[in-house]
Amino acid sequence: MKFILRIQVFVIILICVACNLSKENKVPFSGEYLNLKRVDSLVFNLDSLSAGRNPESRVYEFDGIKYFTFLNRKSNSLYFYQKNDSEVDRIIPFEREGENGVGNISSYFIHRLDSIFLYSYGGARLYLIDSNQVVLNRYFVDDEGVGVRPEVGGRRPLFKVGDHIVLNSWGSQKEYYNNQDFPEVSFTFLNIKDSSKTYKISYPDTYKNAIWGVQFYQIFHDYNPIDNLMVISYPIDNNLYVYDFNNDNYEKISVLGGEDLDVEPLSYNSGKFVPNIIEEAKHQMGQRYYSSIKFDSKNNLYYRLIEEPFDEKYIEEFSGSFSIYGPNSIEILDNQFKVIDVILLPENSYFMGSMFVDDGYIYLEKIQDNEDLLIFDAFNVNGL
Amino acid sequence: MGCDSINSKISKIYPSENLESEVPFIIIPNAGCPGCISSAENLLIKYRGSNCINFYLTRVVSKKKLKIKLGYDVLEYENIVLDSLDILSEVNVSGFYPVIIYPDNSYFEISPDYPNAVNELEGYLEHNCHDIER
Repeated sequence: MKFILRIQVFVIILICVACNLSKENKVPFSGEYLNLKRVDSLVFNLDSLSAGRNPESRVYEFDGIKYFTFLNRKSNSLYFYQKNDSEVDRIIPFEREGENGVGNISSYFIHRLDSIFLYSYGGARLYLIDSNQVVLNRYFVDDEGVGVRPEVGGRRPLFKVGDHIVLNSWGSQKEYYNNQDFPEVSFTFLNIKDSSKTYKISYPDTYKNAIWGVQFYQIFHDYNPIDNLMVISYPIDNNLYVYDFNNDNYEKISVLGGEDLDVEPLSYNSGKFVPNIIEEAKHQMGQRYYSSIKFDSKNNLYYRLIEEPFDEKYIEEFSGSFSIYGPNSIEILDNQFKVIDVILLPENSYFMGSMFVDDGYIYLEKIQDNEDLLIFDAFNVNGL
Repeated sequence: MGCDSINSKISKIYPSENLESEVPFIIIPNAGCPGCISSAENLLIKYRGSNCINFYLTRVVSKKKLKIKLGYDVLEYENIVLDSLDILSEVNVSGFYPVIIYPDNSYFEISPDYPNAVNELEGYLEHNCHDIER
């Protein structure tokens, strides 16, 4: 089931070629109270094996040096750039097979430069690697029958809290069914000391009594290290959900101050409903719904992305094989999850899959023609 | 429009002395069913340079990603064409899956609904291909 689901997911995660917003005129980068001001750009030179629009990228700091990193799936390696330097600092390749083989890497988390966690979706394994690319430990993360194999990375980042690595195991196996309840298996907590796994968190009641399809079953999260919280965003739910690592508490948070989104399901039929894949994509493209969430530890803010609807004419003509990214807004929330403002982003300008936040700035990857350059515009949130 | 065959429509779009006309061809979209596209790309890698089959890569957004995936020399092979004119619109298919088109104008999508498409093509090539080095 997850293989078929991934096929269908892939339709949606792509680049906008020509789409026009058919909505009231709003000035991009400006909300009612806040605006985003571009203050800088990062430029990275890419080698012949690397390309942009790569959602598997993160910034880390080690020994006082900030690195922009990304996963190169073709070469199964991690690239490191010092954040303000255009040239690659180092490339760490990993063997796919053999004694220190890690399969095809899907995602990664760097705890320290001598402790790197690599996740292989295909092999359902997490590997702990040292600074010589030697495998120190292997963890099998799939338990057939318990839940869904974790599909992490990008907007569902791996992260570590104490002795646990947390893996987003989104998906319910029954995305085309009218579900009445959900098991508590949406996140896998892997204990890296004893390899035990605990499963926690179920889909919220918002998903009951309707059929939503794969795309709306995605779960997005981020980790707030200041308060030791994991904050979870569901595409169809105006609420946010918070898991507190301090006391194992999980609660729904009503988000105040923003405009509620009213996402329509594929069907309210009982039983099962599986639409044509293009029709499902069009259904999604015509709606406003939530996607990723990012925590800004410097400003103590959250940024939740809103996927805006495509132009109706574009939806009508959509045939499925064009790569498409839709228009976006960023919802800015304070640390009590109250909406401060919503800022519209310009269409066709930024690839949101690689968005990151660092030192109080929002970095957005610029969509541009030179494929040997990776460019991020850095934005300051003005008006706070 | 008349009743132009798919083959003749494509050859009008891409007239070329270097492309064999009475051979099957595969149109591979840039995005769609990932497993299906991988299968088609594996065929491309296997048969690049062959005069028994042609490939059209369509709706490509990133040439660099294409070259990283399929080899930097992928577009140097005479039987591989980078389509800029959206030839998929000439074929009555979803556009989500690669499609194999035979000289008799029959066509089959490489999709979960038709799992034998690739095997049948390879069987066809085994019987009909007398490869001449280009």
